[in-house]
Amino acid sequence: MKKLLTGLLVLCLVFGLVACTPSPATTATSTQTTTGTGATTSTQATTTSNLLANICVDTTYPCVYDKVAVEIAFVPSSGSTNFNVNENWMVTYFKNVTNLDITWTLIDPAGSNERISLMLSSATLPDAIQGKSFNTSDIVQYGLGEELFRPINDLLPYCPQLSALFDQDPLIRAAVTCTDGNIYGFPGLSNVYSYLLRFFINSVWLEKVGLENPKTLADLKTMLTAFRDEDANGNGNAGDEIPWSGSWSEAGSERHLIFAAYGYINQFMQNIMLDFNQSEPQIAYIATSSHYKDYLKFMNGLWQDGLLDLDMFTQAETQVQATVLNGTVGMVAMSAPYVYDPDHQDDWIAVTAMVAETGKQPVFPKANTVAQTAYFVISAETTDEKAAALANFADGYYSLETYGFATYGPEADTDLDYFGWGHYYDAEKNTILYKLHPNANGAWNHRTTYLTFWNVPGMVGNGYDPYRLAYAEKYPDSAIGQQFKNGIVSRKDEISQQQNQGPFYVNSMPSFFMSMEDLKRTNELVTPLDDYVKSMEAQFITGNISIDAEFDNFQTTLKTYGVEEFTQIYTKYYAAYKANQ
Amino acid sequence: MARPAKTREQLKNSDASFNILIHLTALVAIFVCAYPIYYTIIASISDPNAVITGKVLLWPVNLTWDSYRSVLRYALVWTGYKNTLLYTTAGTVWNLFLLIPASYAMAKGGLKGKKLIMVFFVFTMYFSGGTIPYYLLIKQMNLINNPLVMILPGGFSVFNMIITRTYFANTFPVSLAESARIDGAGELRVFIQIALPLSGAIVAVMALYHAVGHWNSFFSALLFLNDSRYYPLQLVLRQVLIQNQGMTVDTGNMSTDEMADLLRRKRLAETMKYSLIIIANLPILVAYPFAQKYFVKGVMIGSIKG
Repeated sequence: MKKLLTGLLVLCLVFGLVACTPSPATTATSTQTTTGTGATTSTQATTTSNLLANICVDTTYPCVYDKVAVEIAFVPSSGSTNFNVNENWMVTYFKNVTNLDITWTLIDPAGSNERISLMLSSATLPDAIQGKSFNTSDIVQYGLGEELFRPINDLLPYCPQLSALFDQDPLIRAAVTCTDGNIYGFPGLSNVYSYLLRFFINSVWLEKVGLENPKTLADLKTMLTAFRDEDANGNGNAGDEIPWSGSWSEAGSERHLIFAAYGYINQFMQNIMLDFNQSEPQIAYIATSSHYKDYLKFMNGLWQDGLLDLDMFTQAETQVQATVLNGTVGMVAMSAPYVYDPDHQDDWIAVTAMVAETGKQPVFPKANTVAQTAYFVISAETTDEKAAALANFADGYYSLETYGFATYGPEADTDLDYFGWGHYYDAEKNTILYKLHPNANGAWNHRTTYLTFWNVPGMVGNGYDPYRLAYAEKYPDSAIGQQFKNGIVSRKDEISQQQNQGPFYVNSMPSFFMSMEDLKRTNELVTPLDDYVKSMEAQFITGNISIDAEFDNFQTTLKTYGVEEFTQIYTKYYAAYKANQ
Repeated sequence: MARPAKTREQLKNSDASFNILIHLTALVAIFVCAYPIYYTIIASISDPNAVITGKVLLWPVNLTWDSYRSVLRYALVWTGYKNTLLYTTAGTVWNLFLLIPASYAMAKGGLKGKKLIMVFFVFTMYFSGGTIPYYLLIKQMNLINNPLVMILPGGFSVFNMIITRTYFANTFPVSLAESARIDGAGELRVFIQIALPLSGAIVAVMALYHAVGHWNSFFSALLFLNDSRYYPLQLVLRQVLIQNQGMTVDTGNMSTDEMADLLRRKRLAETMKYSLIIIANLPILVAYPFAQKYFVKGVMIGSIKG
């Protein structure tokens, strides 16, 4: 009986193994990945001195002369609902002009991180992935480490627009080049002005208390105190004003406004920052920097004087907006006044870049030129012809016309407006409006569902002032041309930010391409460090823990969590970055 | 006897105080369990601003049906409802179709190789392949973006099979089967016409277990379904609530339009949160009291031997 049992079990094991042998197709791909396709195909392509004849590089579209079939998985914008490739204008546009037979696979934004992780972990990629922003760590892991992404260096001859951009600004190329010299995807770029710390002060209140936009932290405190005491909103009740409201947990940019005043900058709201107090900017971890104690004391002072919203550390953004609508807030961070306070949007002006002591040069964070390091990646498994076709396709996103289409869709009542949902220029409002689809719940939803993908490489994310001007010059009669014919149209709050903060813009530290070991180490260290700082900082500021008594313990604990090693890794990469300039 | 027996009055007093204590503890427990559900109900009919600012505690504030209206107008909710009902009914039928005959067969004495089969069944309770092999398996079965992926995989639960097997072994007397066979009934007839009607309790309990499992499932949908036409209700819930909370969204590279839309969706999520929870769970909440008598009976089903 036992023999029979064991025999049967062994048979089952054998059958299981036999059944799991991969089919020839998958075996081929698995051996391909282990031999490192990236390196071999790039040498292959460079030895062929002629460009692949089928790829059309002279014009943006078509991409190929004879039809090529490709498969692209894409993530639409999270503002879209029920994205359907048969009802989207841009899909149809590409079908008509590119001469590519594209099979679009939708990845819902809600589960995109999980789905794409699965795709990458199981190495079952389509020919290209569009719309997922891969950062430098992802590129090191999946591009350099697991060789899942195809480097596009050898495909640059098929990308005239991107190559021109690289020539114009070598920093862009440097920002997307991995440590092995390869570029693994097509980047998305920022605009000239990036409004990273969007803080606004109620100018009506300022007038009422007779003060100006604060230039130093002392001025800031005076202003907030005046808001608190002098019935700034003029309703007869001197006790209902909340001088400074916000949502520490959701945006957390409040601390970065004050850090900037002390001279510390990072475009991402992280604790590792660039210290501009020295003659040369240096890497510093804010909680161990020389000004951190002053920062804590300043914020604690604000808290003790009742100048901060009591719910600042616990409330969500929706609550902040509700408070703003009540008319009781003096200074607040918001995406734009027209969003939070539409009826009184003109009352708000942007904060100026402040300093901690008079005499210092103010600094203000500006987004790096490259916003998404790789917004379009090509799989390492595709054929050379498909890869070249896809590269040429992705390059199209950087052209002026495709920028216009990807941002605004087609112009209404033109031949390209296949479905009749295009945009038109409203001269009275001096803005671009849309012929909304009946199911769309607003212009944004309409654009991201029925007109474009939005999450594409190029300059779509924040707009691009040079292209807006170029459009007005080249197509003065188009709707977009008319909107920008008098220069970059900016809202009042954008102009205010450009004036008050623009002159002080400094470049933050870039995203570094770290080695796998350093990446692993920083990932291990960052979470305990940041969580500890977050919890201690809130308690220091609200006075739950005494700054004088506990600060030294705090510093010692940070050291045991490895803050020195963490800072050291970033310093090393920053030094290498500076050396390469 | 160490202590003298208590008098009737003494008994009454100590009993009374004990009773009061028990009742008090029970009331506290009821309150702790029932308050969240009660809060969800009153929050769903209160003014969203009042809910956001924390004014809703024991009574609804500013009664409004707006949140229900927004939910019912949200087209995806109806699709989700339809899909969830479909997956739950089809899935439960499939589960029961696999479960009941298998447990009956395992409970019968005469099955050849029963021990071996049991070993294989139990082995799967210890190990599973992991998420990635599972994904590859589903992919090779061409079930990606196919509604069948919510119904077919995970059809057989070994744990439930063991419970059902014990039930059949205990409540189905062998003599009944024998007498039926003497009268000429085949195996299938014995199963369908005799065993099945007698096992109403276990079928009800297992149907409930599996139905609730299917009703709440969303992970398979998250991984395998691309098209929002096939989304179950829980995934819609997740999309509205979690995605629109935007806690970890990096707004640094967003245009103002995107940020404005994000805020609008956050407000919508706050508005729809409670009414969506009520609507999503209403069928289960309503069905439970009716299935409760079977449920209570079924809790002890797998436990008593002989």
